[in-house]
Amino acid sequence: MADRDSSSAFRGFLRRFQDNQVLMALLMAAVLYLVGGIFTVQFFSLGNIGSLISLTVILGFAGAGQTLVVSSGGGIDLSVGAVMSLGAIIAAQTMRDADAGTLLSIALIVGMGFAAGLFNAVGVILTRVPALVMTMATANVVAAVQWIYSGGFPTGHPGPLVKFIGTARILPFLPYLAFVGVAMVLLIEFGLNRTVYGKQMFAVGNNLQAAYLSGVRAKLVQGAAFVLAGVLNALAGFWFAAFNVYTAVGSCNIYVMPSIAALVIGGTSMNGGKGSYVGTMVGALVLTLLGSLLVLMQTDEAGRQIAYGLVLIAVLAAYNREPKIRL
Amino acid sequence: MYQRFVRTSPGISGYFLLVIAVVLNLAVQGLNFFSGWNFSSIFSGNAPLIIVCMAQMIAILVGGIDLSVGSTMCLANTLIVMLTNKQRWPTLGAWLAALAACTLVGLLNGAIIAFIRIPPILTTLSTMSIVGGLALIVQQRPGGVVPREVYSRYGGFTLGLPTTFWVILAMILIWYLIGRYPLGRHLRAVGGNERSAYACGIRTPLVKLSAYTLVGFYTGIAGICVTCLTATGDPRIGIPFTLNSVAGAVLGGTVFGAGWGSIGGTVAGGFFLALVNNIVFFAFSALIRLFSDYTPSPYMQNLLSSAIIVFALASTAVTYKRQESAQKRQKAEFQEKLHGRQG
Amino acid sequence: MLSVRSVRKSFGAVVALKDANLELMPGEIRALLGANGSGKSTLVKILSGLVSKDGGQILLDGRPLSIDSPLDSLRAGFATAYQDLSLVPRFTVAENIALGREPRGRAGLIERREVLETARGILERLKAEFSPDTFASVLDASQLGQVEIAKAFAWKARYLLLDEVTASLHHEQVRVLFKLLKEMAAAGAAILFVSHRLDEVFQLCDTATILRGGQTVASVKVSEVDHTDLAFHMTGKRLDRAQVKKTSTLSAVGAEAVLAVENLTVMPKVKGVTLHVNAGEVVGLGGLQGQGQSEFLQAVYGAAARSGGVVKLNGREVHFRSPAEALRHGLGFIPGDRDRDGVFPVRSVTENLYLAKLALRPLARIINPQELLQGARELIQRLGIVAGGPNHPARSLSGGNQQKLIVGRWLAVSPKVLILDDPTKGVDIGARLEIHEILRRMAQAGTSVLISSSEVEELLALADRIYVFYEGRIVEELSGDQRSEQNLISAMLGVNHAQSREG
Repeated sequence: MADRDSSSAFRGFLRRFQDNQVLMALLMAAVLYLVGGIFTVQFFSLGNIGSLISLTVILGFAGAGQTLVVSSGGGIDLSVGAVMSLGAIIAAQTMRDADAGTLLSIALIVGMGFAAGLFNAVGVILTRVPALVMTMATANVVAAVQWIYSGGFPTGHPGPLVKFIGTARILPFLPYLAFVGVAMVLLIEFGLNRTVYGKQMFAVGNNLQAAYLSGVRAKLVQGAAFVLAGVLNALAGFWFAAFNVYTAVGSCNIYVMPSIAALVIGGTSMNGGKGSYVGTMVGALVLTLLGSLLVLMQTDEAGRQIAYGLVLIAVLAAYNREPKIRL
Repeated sequence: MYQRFVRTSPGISGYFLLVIAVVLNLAVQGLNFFSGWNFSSIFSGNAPLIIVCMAQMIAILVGGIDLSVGSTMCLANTLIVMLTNKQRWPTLGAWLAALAACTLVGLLNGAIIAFIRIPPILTTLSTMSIVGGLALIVQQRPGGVVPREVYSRYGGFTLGLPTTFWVILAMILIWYLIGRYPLGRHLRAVGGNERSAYACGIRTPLVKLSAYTLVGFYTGIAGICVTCLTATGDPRIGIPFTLNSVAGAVLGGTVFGAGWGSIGGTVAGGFFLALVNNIVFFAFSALIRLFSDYTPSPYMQNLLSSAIIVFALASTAVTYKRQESAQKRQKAEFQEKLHGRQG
Repeated sequence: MLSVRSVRKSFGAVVALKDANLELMPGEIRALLGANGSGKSTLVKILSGLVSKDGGQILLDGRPLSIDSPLDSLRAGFATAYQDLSLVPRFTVAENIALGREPRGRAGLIERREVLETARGILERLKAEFSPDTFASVLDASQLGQVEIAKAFAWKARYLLLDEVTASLHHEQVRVLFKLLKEMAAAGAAILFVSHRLDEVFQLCDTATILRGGQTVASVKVSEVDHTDLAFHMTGKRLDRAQVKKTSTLSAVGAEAVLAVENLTVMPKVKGVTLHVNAGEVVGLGGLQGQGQSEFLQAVYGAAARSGGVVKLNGREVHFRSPAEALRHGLGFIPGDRDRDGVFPVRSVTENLYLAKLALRPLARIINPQELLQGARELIQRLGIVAGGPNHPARSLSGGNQQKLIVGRWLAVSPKVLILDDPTKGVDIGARLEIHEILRRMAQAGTSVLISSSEVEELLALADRIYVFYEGRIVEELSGDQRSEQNLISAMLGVNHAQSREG
């Protein structure tokens, strides 16, 4: 009798994982962490935990805007890398190693992100061009702006306070950045689930025509998602500069594809209508762990790319299969 | 006749944009545009882009997208250089091997998309990584040589026209031929409404498999071209081609999820992309000549080019809308005629 | 001869077919009848290959037939015209008709001329008013229906499966179709005709099989039964015709028109419509499908642009440019196609119920989840919605319950004017009657209801006054004793409409 109870309880436990992709992603993260530790005990070191957290937070920030855009059914935002890079450059060049320029810097970054997001919004909503293509075009424009603004060589660094928050740790395993990350997660999750806008956004992502007929201003909602994403992407650049200190043109372009991957692993539906930022953050954690693990195993660039692609396919095969056409 | 063409051709926005681009090019560059060397370099310099745009068009027509084309071109490039330089294979043999490899990549993409049913954008996002890694395994760093006879033939003339002109023409004709067969129709049907295609007895997984395999084949040809063009090997050579191929196809009038698009339009869209940079360069040169104290940052050119492309993309929507209203008018006219006859 | 024996099919926990039986002989036109949820659509899809069966046998001329895909079905000699169409919008009509059976000529190339000729031939026989090189994306619903039928005809199949093909067709198109079908049957084809319109069944069919709850409950000769017999088989209840009449009296609350429309024009479908709705009234829009009712209602609601005319709400002129604006002024809208236009499948029952209410609130407003949940539970109870729980995704509900979700969405905002565009199309009798009751209660509570329907019985049961649409205009207004089946049907057919058709 006891055996049957425990086995069905176990099966129930398993099913919880199958249905809840975020839990599954957490499990993957745990497995990756353990494997890392097997390779070298250094992986478990407190210092390393701190590094992993910082890297995860930055990638998670890159995925914030993406989560909004994808969930609202607007498509995929490929301008995240360019906008983030420009945000980082603005941070470096306006603060110039002094705290005095911090507020101005943030204001400029938010303004730039707003403009970029608006550019995307107008381009995607007003034309029938898919977001994938339009945001790529925006990325090119923003990249050109990066070059013009920095003259090819960005100068300056974020002020000491910002640098401190970005790089220092309150405990060896707990960077200040973690708090920023948690605050961001709470803020965005609140926005997604507890505001009228969030509910409308998911509705638009799930069935735009139905939302429109129910009195939702669908275009406004989708456009707002792009604008908000622009701001979030730009701010992600600010934190990138805080963490990385060194900025260069296009330095954040490497975050574009992983931002999408983080969403996928975290369970956000690529068709829109369903998603969570917690999931994206966990997805970022998985990707960061995977990346670190691969570096640890001293795989070269080729091996890293192949492993990354294989892991992605595995996750996709588990969670992102489309239903059979014949029922 | 002309009206009918404008109303029904999917490539209309591509042709329209190309005409504008050529006119602007003539305006800033003068008749030099048509000079032998310039004209030929437009073809040979951009053949890889044009052909990979064609590949992307096929993926979009079947209802998907292929983000791995850039990496696949890298693979072709590094394979050719490695086989000819290190393994002393004859050029043709290396080309065939590269073509086979790229076609296999396409087959793999198609299999995953058709049978495991992972959405194309996510599938090819992953294979982009895997194939890119494979390219790096074949050759880690840029280097290697391509024989002079090969690259000068590539950049030169054959039968009075640029060699690459014939290559592009051949790729167009292959697609045209496929379009005259059921596979061509079925491919677009699957892209337009998969359920409808299935309900009509079409084997949709096989159609998708064939389509992506074709994409791989076309990408392989593009990879061979880029190798002849750059005359060297570079495992990252193909990266910029991925997103440009999507832009070129979209500028050429290819529509996502509709099975709507034409190879002529795509080629035109690709050329438009290629010419934009040309236009901006010569326009700035002209401005510098006219206003001798005007020294614009070289980066301004990029900004302008990028902005032009944004507007060009936006214009495809306008062209499409006008085409739709023209079609509606045609239907209404037919109804009028019918009533007139009966009335 | 086709023989279907004890076929079973379940979709997860939902049992669609328990024990379906059917026999179809060459030359026979058999109706397949049943309420929504009876399984008739599923049975057709099993025969056409889109859906696999869990058990049972299908025999063709005595031999077992295994249908694993639409290709198998087509090869076996079946051709299907689907209710939700199997067309590709960017293809021309001719390309759609030829899809899957492209004629091959030299070297296997497609014979383009034959594609056009075949299409032209069938379209002429169907008296279609569009040419074969028209793109499907510019056709309206009735024309698309004709293309779907033409496609099925083109297969020249021994067995023709027609699933609710008349739903979007005009009366004239139906007449032509029935003539053709009878010719085909006389030439030896076997036709399975799925419909919920009993009148058509009596016009066209020799025999009928009735499904109820996934089982075949009767197989009859049409000449030996009448409407009430068929309704009895379909629902298990003896429908008393007298009961179907409206029971509540005409509410004469306020002579002021809440909604007044003057000369509304939506080119080319609506040609100057004038009507009004009083407070607490239920006004019906009758007419065949496709006479402009949908376009009219969408224009009033702001979901579509109008070409001219005036709309007044409580005496003040309004011009809604979007449903959001209409909502703020107290209007509501229930669409006819719930999958495409109504339900949010992945979102919870609660969110589905509350979306219109949320659309009224400012975007930055914070939500209290408890408040929403409480309200949702109340609505679920009031409407009798069968769902696993308020947080379950809407797609886990059955079709009828999903439609109730949409009704509930508007109930939650208590609109002053509720507009419905053929909302019970494809909804079974049970859910339909429940929705009628809800509408009546809303009207009594003060909501003015403007409902368009192509079902005569629905209009007679619900409406205080009925305006009849014919070719974009109002040709008749029926109120009081004038509301009879005779008057309504003759107005629908334009019998009293003296003007000849415009070119």
